[in-house]
Amino acid sequence: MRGWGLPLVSAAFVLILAEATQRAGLLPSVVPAPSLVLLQAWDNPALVSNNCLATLGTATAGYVVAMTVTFAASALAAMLYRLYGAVYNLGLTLHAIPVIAATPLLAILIGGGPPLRVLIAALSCQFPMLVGMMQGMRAADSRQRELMHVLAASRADTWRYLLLPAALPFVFAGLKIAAPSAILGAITAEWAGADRGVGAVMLNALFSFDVAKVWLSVLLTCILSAGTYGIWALAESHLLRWKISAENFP
Amino acid sequence: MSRDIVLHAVSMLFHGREADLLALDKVDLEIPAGRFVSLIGPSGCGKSTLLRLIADILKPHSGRILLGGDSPRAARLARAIGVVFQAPTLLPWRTVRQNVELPLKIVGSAVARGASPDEMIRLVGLEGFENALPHELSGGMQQRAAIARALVLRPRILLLDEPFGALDEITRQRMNLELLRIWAESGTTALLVTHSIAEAVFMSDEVHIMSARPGRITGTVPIDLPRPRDLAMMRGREFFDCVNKVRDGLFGYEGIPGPVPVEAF
Amino acid sequence: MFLRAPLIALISIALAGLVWQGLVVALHVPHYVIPAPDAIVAAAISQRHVLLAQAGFTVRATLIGLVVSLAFALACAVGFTRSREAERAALPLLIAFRSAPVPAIAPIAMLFLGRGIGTSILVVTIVSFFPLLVNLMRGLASVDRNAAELFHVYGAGFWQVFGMLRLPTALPFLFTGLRIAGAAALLGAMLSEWITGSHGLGNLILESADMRETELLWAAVLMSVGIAMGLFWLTATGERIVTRGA
Ligand SMILES: Nc1ncnc2c1ncn2[C@@H]1O[C@H](COP(=O)(O)OP(=O)(O)O)[C@@H](O)[C@H]1O
Ligand SMILES: [Mg+2]
Repeated sequence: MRGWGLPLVSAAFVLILAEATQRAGLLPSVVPAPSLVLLQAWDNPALVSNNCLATLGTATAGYVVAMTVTFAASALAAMLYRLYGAVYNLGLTLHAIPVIAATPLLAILIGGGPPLRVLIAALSCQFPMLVGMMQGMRAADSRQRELMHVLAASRADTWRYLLLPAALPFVFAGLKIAAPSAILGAITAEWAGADRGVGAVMLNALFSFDVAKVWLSVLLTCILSAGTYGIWALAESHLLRWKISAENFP
Repeated sequence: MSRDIVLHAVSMLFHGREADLLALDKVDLEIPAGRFVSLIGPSGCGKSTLLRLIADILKPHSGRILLGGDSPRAARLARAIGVVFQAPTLLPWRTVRQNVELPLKIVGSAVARGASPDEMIRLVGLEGFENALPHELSGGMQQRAAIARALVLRPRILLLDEPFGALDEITRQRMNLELLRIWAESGTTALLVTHSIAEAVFMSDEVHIMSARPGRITGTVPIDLPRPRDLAMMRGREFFDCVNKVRDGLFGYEGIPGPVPVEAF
Repeated sequence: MFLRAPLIALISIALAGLVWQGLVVALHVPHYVIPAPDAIVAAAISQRHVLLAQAGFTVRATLIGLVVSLAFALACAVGFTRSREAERAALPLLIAFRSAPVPAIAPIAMLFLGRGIGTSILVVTIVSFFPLLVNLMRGLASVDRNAAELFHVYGAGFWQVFGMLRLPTALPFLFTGLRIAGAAALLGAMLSEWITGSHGLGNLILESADMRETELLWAAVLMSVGIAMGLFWLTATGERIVTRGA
C-alpha cells in the first residue's frame, strides 16, 4: 500500500478542484462536475452493470481465445524450432493490422455480431501474450539446461523444476499487458456497431452530446482496463515474489 | 568410491558455418580415481569442450571416454558426475537450500546415497543463508552454493569449469582452500579447468597443459607438494619449480606443432 | 542504397498482388468478400479524389500531431535534464497520461475540439508524446561519462554540452522513438476519425464498409498500410542518414 498515498491525495484534489471550478462556472461545458458523472452511474446502475458486463464478456472471451491459440502456437514454436520465426512473424503481422482495418474487413466475412467483437478482442491482445509465452519457453539458458541434463532429469522434471518456473515471469508479463488490450479491443469493436457495451454507450453519448455520459464511459473504460491489469499484477506479486525481490535488489 | 577418468584418442569437431573446427585433436588423458587434476591452457583451446564431453553434454566425434569403466552416459545416468560451471547457474526462484536440494528432488528415492542438503550447505560455509535467494548472495557465495549442489549426490567425479574465474583474487584464494578441504572430505575425483598457473599448481596432483588450434594436451606436470596444502607452500622452492614448469609448458613451445614433453626442459 | 528497401517492397507487393489475383479468380471468391486487386485498383482510380482527400486529411493530422508532440517532448526532455525537480513534479502527470488509452482520450478530445482535424491532432499528439519523450530522455541520459566529464573540465555550459554531446548521442534514440510514435500516431489519427465520423481514412473505411463498397474499403485499408510503411521508411532513412553522419 506504500506509494499509493500521494496519487490518491492528488486525484482527490483534482476531483475537488474540478467540482469547485465547474460549480463556479469556470470550466467549459464539456467538463462536467465529477459529481454529475458519478450521479449518472448512481441513478442508473443497470446502465453501468449491463454495459460493463457486455464489454467484459466480449473481452474475456477474446482473451481466452487468444490465450488458447497463442499457447498452442508457442508450444509449436518451442517444439519445432524452425517454426519459431514464422510463428513470431505471423503474430507480429496480425498485431500490425490495425483494429480499424480488421473490423470492417472481418465484418464482411463473419458478420457484425458478437463473434466479430470477440475476434477483434482476441486479435488486439494476442501479440503480448505470444511474445511472453515464446520468450518464456526459451527463458531457461543453456547452462541451466545442461545442469538438468547432467542431473539426468526426466522431461517432466525438467519442465517442473526449470522450464516452467523460468517461463512464468514472461508469461505473466504477457498476460498482464494483454488484459487491457482485450478490453480496449472490445470497446473499439463496439464502436463499429453494437447495441450494448461501454463502447456503444460512448458512441451514443457522443452523438447525443451527453457530456456526463461520455465522461462516464471514459471512466468505465479506464476502470475496466486498469482493473484487469491490476488483477494480473496482484496475482503476479503473489506468485513471483522471487522475481520482484530480485528486480528490486540493489 | 571415486571413479577414474580415461580418454583415449578423443577428437571433437564442431561444424562451423564456413569450415569445421577441430576443437580437440586425439586427446589422451588418464586421471586416477580420487585425484585432483587441473587442465590449463589459453582461451579457446577446448578445455570446456573436454569437460562437457566427460559430462556427456557433448558426444565426441571419435575416440573413447571411460569413467570408472562406464561410458559418460552411463555415468551421468548413475548420477556419478557433478559439474560446477563458471557462472553459478543457480535457479533464481529457488532458495539456497532448494537449489542444493534440486538434485535430490530429481533423483527421488532411486539413489539413496545423497547427503543432506544442510550438511552440504555447512560444508561450503553457507549456514544461515539456507533461505536466501541467489540474488541476495555475493558471487562467491553463489558459487559455494553451486559447489554444494554439485556435491549433494556425492558424485564420483567432480568437474569444475573455471569455477572461481569471476571472483576477485582474495576471495578466490579462500575458495580454493575450501575447495581442497571439501574435495578431501568428499573423496571424489576432481578435474579443474583454470586460467591461473598458480591456482593449477596449488590445487592439483597433476597439471595438464593444453594448446589451441587444434586443442591438444601438450604436456603434463606432476605436482609433488604434500597434502593438505596451505598458503605457506606458495612461498616454497618446490612450488616455484612447478609453476615454472607449467609456464614453460604453456609458452616455451609456442608455434611448434605436436606434443613436446615438458620434461625436456 | 536507400532505394533498395522500397524496391524490394514494391516487388513483393506486386508478387503478393499477383498471387491474390490468381487465388481470387481461381477460387471464385465473391467480390464483396475479397475483391480482386484489379477491381481494387479500378475503384481506387475512379474514386481517387475521395481517397486522396481523406488520406491527405489523415496524413496532415498525423504529421502535425507528430511535430507538435516532438516539440513538447524536446522541451520536456531539456527541462527534465536541467532540473530533476521538474522531472519529479511532472512525471506522475505524464504517467497518468500515458496509461490513458486512445478509446479514452479520443472521446474527450472530441468533446473539446469537435469533429474536425483538431481532435485527430490532439489524439496524435498525446499518443506519440510518450514514446518520443521516453526515448529522448534515455538518449540524453546515455552520454558517455568520460566525455561528459571532459566537457565539464573544459568548462562547457549547459547548452554547449547539450548541443555538442547530449543531442548527438540522443539522435539514434530519438529515431527509435519516432518509429514507435509514427505507428501509434497514424492509428490514433484513424481511430479518432472513426468516432468523429466526418473526415479521414478512418472514417472512409467505416463508411465504405457500411455501404458495402468492398473495393473502396480495401483501397482505403491498403492506402493506410502504404502510409504506415511510408512513415516507417521515412524515419528509417532519416535514422540511417543521421547515424552515418555521426
Ligand atoms: N557449441 C560449439 N559450436 C561451435 N564451436 C564451439 C562450440 N563450443 C566451443 N566451440 C569452439 O571450440 C573451441 C574450444 O572452445 P572451449 O572448449 O569453450 O574453449 P576453452 O574453454 O578452452 O576456452 C573454441 O574455438 C570455440 O569457439
Ligand atoms: Mg571455457
